[in-house]
Amino acid sequence: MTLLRRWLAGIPGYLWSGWGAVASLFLMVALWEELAAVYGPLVLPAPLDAAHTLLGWARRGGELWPTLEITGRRAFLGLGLAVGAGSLLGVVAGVSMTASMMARPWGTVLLGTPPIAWLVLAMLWFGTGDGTPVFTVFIACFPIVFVGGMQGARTLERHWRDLATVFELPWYMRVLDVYLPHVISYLFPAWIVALGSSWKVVVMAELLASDTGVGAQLATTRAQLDMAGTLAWIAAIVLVLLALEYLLLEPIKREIERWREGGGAAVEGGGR
Amino acid sequence: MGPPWKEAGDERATPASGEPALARLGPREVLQDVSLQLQAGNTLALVGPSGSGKSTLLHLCGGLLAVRDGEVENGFARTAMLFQQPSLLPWKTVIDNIALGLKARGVAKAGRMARARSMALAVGLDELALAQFPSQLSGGMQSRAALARALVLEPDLLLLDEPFSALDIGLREQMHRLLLAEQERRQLAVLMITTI
Repeated sequence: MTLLRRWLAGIPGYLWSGWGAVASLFLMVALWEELAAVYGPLVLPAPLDAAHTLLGWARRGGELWPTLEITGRRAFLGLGLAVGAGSLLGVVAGVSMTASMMARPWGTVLLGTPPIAWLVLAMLWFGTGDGTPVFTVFIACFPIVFVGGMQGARTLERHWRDLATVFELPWYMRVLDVYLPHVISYLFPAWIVALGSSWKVVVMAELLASDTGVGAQLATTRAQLDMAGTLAWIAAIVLVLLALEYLLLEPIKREIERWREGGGAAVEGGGR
Repeated sequence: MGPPWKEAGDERATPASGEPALARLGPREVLQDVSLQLQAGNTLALVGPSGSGKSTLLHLCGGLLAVRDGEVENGFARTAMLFQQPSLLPWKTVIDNIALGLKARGVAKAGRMARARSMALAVGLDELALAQFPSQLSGGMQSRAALARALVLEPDLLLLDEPFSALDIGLREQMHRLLLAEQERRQLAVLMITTI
């Protein structure tokens, strides 16, 4: 309850601190406008054209929301599987010295394999349904989360264990009060990175291997040389990601990592 | 651990004794033929150059290391320990840190907060510090909090692994005064490490 109240009370200050970030984004749009004026609408349509197209889709009966829903469902399914499996297996692997020595090269191999390679395999395995994007997102995000979980469990310092022994903490307190907060502080950044890449990977997978979703729409506008439409879809993807990052994840991160910053108040501006 | 009641010469002494004859850390033999007894309410200092195994001996007494050979008998009802670093959990506020051991014993929230608060005030922390996270405190304040976390359990044996060695001499003296005050208040045995 106090958590909720603090979160609500923090919103105005947080939004206010976002002015800097908004201003810098508008500067980028201005640059876009300038380039559009130089190169003409065939190469780069003006931001307003893209915005008009996007708003047209966003009206009732438009294709924006159903398309975003399809893409979002695929991204979050893949991400959810990766976060669940990656966190669990990563922590388990980190607890055992042998397992982490064995798993580390696997993580490196998986992280080093480009998502496009997985996409090719997934297309052969799963065809053009939901399976391909979900699998590709999963396999792209899994190693990120896995390595985060493993680091968290590996770095559980000896003195936390000694502390738990000396103060005779029961098992649930060891887990909830000592191990979990430490591991989460490693897992949470990994989750955020995984979220970012899930959103990018799903669009790529749809572009090449699906006929629905944002990626597929992007393929269509490209085929029709509809530049304003292409930019509108790109804008939609980026806006969703910005909203997730700054309206959902950043406040959560501030809340659970209050102890690290050394204070409840926002220390820095909106941008990172 | 079993009830020791070692022969001690003083009939009121509730004793504990440590007799780790031999302990090894990996392939290296760290301790050999060590034998000591600590009576209730007494203070015993282990003095020696660094690397001589004092800390190992203390960890054996605290049950943090397994004894390979020989035995450690701890007849004290409640043992608490202070580590070289304050070792406060960084994601918990200072008061929650101090109340950690009480929570482990199942003391209800209101009770453990009240006890933690009064102990914290006794070692010289103020209300403001209690609501903060350890990283916001100075080294001296963190040491006070670590001391409060141990003392709030009302231990009758306190193991000190040079917890104040990083503090300057004035602060260290304050910490020792706090300990002496606690020893005056009730029976508290202290086994401490000092480097020469």
